[in-house]
Amino acid sequence: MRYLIIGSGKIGIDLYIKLKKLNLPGDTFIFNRNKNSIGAKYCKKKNFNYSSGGISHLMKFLQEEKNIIFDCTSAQASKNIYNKIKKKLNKNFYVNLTPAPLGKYFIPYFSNVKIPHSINMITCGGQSSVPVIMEMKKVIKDIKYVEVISSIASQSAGKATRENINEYIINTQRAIGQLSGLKNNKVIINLNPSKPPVNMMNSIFFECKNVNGKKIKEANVVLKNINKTIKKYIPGYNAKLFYKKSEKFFRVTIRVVGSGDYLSTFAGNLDIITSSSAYIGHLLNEKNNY
Amino acid sequence: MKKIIISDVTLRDGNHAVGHQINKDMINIYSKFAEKNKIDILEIGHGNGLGASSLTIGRSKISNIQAIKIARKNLKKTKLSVHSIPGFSTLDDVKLAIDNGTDIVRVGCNSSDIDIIERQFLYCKKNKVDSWCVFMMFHQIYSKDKYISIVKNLKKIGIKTFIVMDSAGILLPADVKKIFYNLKKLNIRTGFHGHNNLGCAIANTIQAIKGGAKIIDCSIRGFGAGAGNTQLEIIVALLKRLKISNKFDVREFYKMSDQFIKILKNNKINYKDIFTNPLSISTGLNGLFSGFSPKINLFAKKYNVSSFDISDLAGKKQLAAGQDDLLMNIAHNLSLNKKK
Repeated sequence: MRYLIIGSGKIGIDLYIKLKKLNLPGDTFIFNRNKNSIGAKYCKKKNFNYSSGGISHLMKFLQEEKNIIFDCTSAQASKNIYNKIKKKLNKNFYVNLTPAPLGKYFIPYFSNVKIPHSINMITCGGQSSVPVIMEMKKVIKDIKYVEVISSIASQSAGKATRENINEYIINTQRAIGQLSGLKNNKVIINLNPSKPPVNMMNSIFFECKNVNGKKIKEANVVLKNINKTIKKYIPGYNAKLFYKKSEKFFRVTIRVVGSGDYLSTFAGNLDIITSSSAYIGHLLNEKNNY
Repeated sequence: MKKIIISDVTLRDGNHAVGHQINKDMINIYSKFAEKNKIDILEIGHGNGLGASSLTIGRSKISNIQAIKIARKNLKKTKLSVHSIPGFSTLDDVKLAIDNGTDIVRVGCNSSDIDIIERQFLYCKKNKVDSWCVFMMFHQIYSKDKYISIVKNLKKIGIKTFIVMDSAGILLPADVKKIFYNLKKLNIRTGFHGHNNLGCAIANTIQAIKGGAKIIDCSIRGFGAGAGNTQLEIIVALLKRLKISNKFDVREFYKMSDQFIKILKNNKINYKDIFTNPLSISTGLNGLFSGFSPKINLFAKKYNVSSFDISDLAGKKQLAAGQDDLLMNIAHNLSLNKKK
């Protein structure tokens, strides 16, 4: 098994480091087009298996062995990449880390399913909040609306993230609706310019017909299990519940302190999506189901 | 005579002052007033613009699209504008606003991250709809080198009109003078949006006009976020006094100003008259988004902590508009510390 990353932005490089740290059998490679970009320079400096041959060089790798292709470009660019490699997906796996509407949604938290060959990682907001929303809906039946607000540090938002804010919202809302059934949802994303940067945080608001102590107790049990499971692959993940008496909603905040592999620890939003993606490499090796 | 464009934000920024409760009747009455009194542009919608109606920020009484439709019926010469912050709004929201008759889409966000407006601007450009760049929280890019290079880059994609928005009400007349002096050299159309937190909205606006600003954001009685905006009836009087424009019938504006509180009351909209209350001074000094005041008050009460403490901490963290959930965290943590 080989791990082929396309795109050498913040996400691509962070994922490269995370894959190496997992010590999976097989080599990791990273491709981009511009050999003078900041990311490319970093790859060369760190002696990564790097190529500026872009997608055409990556395609040559698909002739042999089994590969997981991690698409870390942008929503726009990934459509092109997907069209080129989709015929090769019977042997290979494609993991899309951009918010483009390509592939089947997959969240490692629910690892007891067959891993699809073409995976849509949703977004960092979606990857971290959908498990919470799905589990809450199982125990609290009268949730009528859910709202997810992501605050990320400006410095952690690279070029593609900034261009893809529209796709971020649409893909996250769609994933919440499709996976949890809560079609009545809203997603907001804020960039925070503060220096030093603030840690990323998601707030999920659950609006119910009514909220009481019993429900909050149950919700807290759910949250405890989620934290335990997700920490296996996103070590800095921490979800917490907030409730004020007499309010018809409760709120779950998710903070992810990054492991600081490429960017500093404030950029937990990167860790959510890169750790989850790298873990797919682990799952595929473990399950041997490719 | 300099041509000054009055952009009236009463029905948009004013929504911040009343928890986004502006209703159909208010829009009807005020848009008729705007049309009759030759106001050039009227801005409509939720305080944070398209797509912002939410549990966290506050739900608007009527949807942005409903609001646009009502105003559209009453506006002929007066142009209709909307405010749009990518992250709250999506391209679909912009499309809907345009389809329902919006003339101008003002796309803005925190000045330090202004590049995220490009997609929405380009979408408007492709659809031949006038679109402007709004530098919210302008003080974030206060240093000259910063804003000059940012404007130059945005000019390259075709943006021609730029609004300097003093969202926090932190700028002083000398700052505004310098900013517009520097912007003048870039051959762009500029505008100013003031807030009155430190009592400088009118003085700042005059400096902007003197410096070449063509577009002036105002609202009746200063009805807007925090300590309110540049007061429309004063600007109309000043345009006369400065011999810049004689086209407005000042008496009509006095009349609206007199009646405005009553109109709000008749529409059962709860509102305390605008004056710079201490919390607004504090958010101004801390460079915080003016629209935070009501939320700070709410959480201060709920968690039984000082609103000034919340303001100071939020200022330190440089919270941006929309991060109301973090205000809640700050209040929560303050209350925990108090218990210790």
